[in-house]
Amino acid sequence: MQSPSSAGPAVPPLTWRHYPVSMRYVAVGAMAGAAARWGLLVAAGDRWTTAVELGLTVVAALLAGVLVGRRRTRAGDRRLTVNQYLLLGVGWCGALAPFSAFALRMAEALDRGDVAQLAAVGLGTPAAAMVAAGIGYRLGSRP
Amino acid sequence: MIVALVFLVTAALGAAVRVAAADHLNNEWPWGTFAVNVGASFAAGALSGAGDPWVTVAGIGGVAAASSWAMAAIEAAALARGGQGPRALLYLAATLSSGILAAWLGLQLA
Repeated sequence: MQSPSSAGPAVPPLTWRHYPVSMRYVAVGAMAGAAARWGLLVAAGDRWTTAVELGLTVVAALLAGVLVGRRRTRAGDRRLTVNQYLLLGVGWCGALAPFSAFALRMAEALDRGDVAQLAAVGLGTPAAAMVAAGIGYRLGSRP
Repeated sequence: MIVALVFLVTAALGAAVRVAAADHLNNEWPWGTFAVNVGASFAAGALSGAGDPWVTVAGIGGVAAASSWAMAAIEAAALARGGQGPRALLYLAATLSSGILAAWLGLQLA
């Protein structure tokens, strides 16, 4: 892994201190991400809510991984700018797959005693998200 | 029309809260994202029973945009890449268990 200093400021997730955050970009990205999610959920109908949410989580984690890789890599002019990362990664991807919706779905399953859904979705979603983020990072950090 | 506008504005505010929390609280542990994800899960549970459509819209928009799977996933991946696999697993497990518990507590209040 290259040191962050070779590729400009360190990328959040982990260290945000002194990171030049323009909330405008985050806000616009989040509005677009939240609207896309809402539109998809409405279009898909109640029956497909769980599947759509899982799909959106995988897409968001994959794309966020690609973007983090793009920020970190020394890919010259193909490297992402800070504001592009804030717009697409933190804003759009960030709002596309809310953790709270997943947690609520799992809490409802817990209340119903639906152990099968709790186990399948509760373990499958984080596993899928982690694999997607890892694949995305590899794709994104290719020079 | 106004409902869509409220939805968008609350989504933008929610994401801003998430970034501000990460900015101020994330260090070697992503405390900020953890706190926002758990807090939003509680709020999602507590708001789920509200009959008021405005509360529902604000809940879907703002609370949801404050929490984020993508951020948690890339944070855990960053920890794992930095040679801190156990910490990454612990972070994921803590987020999952605390988030689901918080949403469940919220549901009981609703």
